[in-house]
Amino acid sequence: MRTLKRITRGIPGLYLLLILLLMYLPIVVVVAYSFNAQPKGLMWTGFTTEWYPALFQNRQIMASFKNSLIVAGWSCLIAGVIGTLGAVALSRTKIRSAAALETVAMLPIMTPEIALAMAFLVTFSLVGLPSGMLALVLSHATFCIPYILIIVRTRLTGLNPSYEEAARDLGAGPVRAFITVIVPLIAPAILSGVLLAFAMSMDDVIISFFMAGPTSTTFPVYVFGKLKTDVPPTINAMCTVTLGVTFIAVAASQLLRSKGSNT
Amino acid sequence: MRRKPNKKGGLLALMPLYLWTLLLVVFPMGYVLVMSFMTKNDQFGVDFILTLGNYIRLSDPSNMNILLNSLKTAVFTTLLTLLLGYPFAFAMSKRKKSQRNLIMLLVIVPFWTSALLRTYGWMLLMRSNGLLNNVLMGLHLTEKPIQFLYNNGAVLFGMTYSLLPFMILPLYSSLEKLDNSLLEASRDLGAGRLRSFLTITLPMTLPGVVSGCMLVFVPSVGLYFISDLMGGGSGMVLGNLISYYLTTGRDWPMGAALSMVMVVLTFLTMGVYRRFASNDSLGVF
Amino acid sequence: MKRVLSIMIALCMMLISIPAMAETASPEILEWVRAQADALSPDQKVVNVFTWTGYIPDEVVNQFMDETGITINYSPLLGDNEEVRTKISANPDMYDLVICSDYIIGTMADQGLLHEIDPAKIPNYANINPGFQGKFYDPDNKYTIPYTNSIPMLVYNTATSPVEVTGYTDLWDSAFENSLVCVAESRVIIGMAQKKLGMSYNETDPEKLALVKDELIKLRPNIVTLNSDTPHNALISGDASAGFMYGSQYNAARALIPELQNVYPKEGLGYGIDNIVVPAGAQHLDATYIFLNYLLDGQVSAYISSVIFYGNCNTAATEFLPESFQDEALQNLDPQMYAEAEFIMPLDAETQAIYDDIWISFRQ
Repeated sequence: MRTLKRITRGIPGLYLLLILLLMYLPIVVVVAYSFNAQPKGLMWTGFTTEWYPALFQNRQIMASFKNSLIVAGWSCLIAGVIGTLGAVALSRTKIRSAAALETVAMLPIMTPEIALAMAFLVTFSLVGLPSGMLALVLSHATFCIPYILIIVRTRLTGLNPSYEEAARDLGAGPVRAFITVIVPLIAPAILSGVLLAFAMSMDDVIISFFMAGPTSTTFPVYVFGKLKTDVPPTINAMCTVTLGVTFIAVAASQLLRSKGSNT
Repeated sequence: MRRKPNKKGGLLALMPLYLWTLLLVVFPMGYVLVMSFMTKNDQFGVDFILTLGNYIRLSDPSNMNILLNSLKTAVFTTLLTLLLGYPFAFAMSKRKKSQRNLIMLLVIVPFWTSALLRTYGWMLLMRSNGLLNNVLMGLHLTEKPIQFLYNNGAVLFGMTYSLLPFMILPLYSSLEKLDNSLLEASRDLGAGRLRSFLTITLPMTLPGVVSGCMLVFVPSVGLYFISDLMGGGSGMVLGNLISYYLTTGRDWPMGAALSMVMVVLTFLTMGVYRRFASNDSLGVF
Repeated sequence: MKRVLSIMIALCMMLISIPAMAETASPEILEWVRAQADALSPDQKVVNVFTWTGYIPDEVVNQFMDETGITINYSPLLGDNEEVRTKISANPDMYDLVICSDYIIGTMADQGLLHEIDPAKIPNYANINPGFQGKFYDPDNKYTIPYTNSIPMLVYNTATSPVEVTGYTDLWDSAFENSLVCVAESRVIIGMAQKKLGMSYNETDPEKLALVKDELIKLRPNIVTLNSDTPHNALISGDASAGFMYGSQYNAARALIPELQNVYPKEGLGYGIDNIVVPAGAQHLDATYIFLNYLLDGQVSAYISSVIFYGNCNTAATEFLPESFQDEALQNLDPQMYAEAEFIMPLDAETQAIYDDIWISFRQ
């Protein structure tokens, strides 16, 4: 809180505070409505905490949330590895096709989601891959890679190549130099890339809808379906819970990141 | 800058990305491209009859209007986020390290809550009998509720709100990298605050400006749930149009052609971007 | 620590105690489904359902699962009927039971995507109200079991509306500027202009359709929002004073704003029947038939109607329907008008392109 106070000193500080307040205003509303007694969430009728236990009792919410975690976990793992390796390689090669590859690899986050979703559906059915967990993970990893690529690539451009060269001069092989020198240096960037990709995967509706099988409905798809009739407070409660967890996770990543950039 | 000739290792590390992009980006996107030149089937899906008709139909006045409207909204959103985001990133970069990290955290966290629910949050505040109108009426600033929702202003507001972080993050990272000794030198040479900002800070952060603009512009062309919910949805944007053709309209090739328009728009903005940003500062965050 | 433990125990208790639901199903059907399910092998105790969220209420699904041990995997359908066909075409053996709308069913049957339903396996088949069978999409009742019928209706707020609404024509009144909410369904909205001009919903004459386009564009200044999913929210929030929507949506709004009044437009009614179908590749037919028979039980059907508030298609349900259902949804519907209600039917490609143009021009 003390840091917050110091931030707000002066006009620039007030401006920062104002924009941040605006950013959080709708989130405060979402959290507040998780305590609304009205089960359809349309009007405020009174305070209750009953939606929190109801949340853990709801089989569909719990199952879909678990599915979402699995999909986001696997796709971030895959995207983390492929994106990091790709970013490192891209920063080292000057071949012309690399620039093209980089542009094409960005396409999944630049294409209308519904078009990408239908393209995935048709291509997967062409090769006989049924909708379900695997299709979900493959498609999510595809749109997670760009985020990781972007962030890790930035970190690498700011990196002094002499570290790696020194390691190589001291006799380390390229793989060892990569693992012992590069990875620790870019770890904070990988982590923030993965966290951003994780958030995008956990918030994806359209691709997930087309890729999901009968037992792999994800949380956002469930929420979106619910929002079509009304906004039940259990959904707000679930978001409040995830928000709390998120705050802790992002705080941890920021700590790691600032530690990393101090070196 | 010295580079060790380590091409083989580099290519090996590039392989997974290369293969993945080929199989899961080029292949499906190629399918969309091919489909955009096909004819729609009377019942379902596509007939494999080559045509340019879908692209010719893009110039229909109604399609054109929607396209232009989307572009207009996107341009305004980009300008607004830039106007709001630059001072924010600038003020942020002048803070101490610990404060900067805290602010960064606070900017990122909204990403982690459902974008849809955040939009609903705004709607609850802004609707006719919402909190905002109740406060205004309670203070006797207005007699009748003001209709904040369901107009172009609301769409612009919602878009700007959702995309502002995408502008702030790249701007901040280019401002943070800025070498303060340059600024000090220019001040020592007698340049005023404004002048050193215009001659040093702004040109040096141009790559950040361009990448922020790209990250905001491209999604804002396609983002339609905000215009549907906050704008009332009576006016379509490109995103709805694509969605309509791919579902209710049962015209996949037309939807594919419109998607290709978005992809081309993306390539164009990326091309402009590459022109401005040197390859080494490609990173946007 | 103790506190945490007691909270956790309390949470576990809540998880275990599932509230008893007495009136959702008849004792006979419960006994029947239990007996039938016992005969199934464990790997057949699954039904994969695909339809809009809440269209089969959670309580009904949960009770069936608890009574039979059959797992129901409920996949939410997010958009419109086209998405059903897109997903079923790509994955023909993924779902066992799908609920979707009339017009899409005919084309799905033509594509060979649907299973022929065997009435002999459904003792409650006789409960189906024959008035909802034999329609254009399934003339011989081979593939469908009618689930709900729905008539979009005009709704207006008697306190704030500038005009007393009796038909579509009133919506064109300039007093309604920027204060109407409608479902964002192209055919339903184009249909309002068609009925105002005395045409069919399925008009194919391009010249007449040109008139429809002009008429519809005149309506545009009055529309404050189009929303397929939650149009009632604009009525509740006071941003709209009248609109055109489905009974379930009217009912949700009416619960909070008693001044709302529904009206069946005098120019004519639109009409739709949502049906249960079984995809041709369904993998769990035995369990699916058990669930079908359960859904057709009079009490179950009445319970579903009372929750989702769409028209009921089950003769055995009538006696169990709550009074409010009769009162609010269908009270002032003239039987003659009901009989003349018109289906929205699929169009040929050329006409569809004209409708696309009308819709996109309206929304440009």
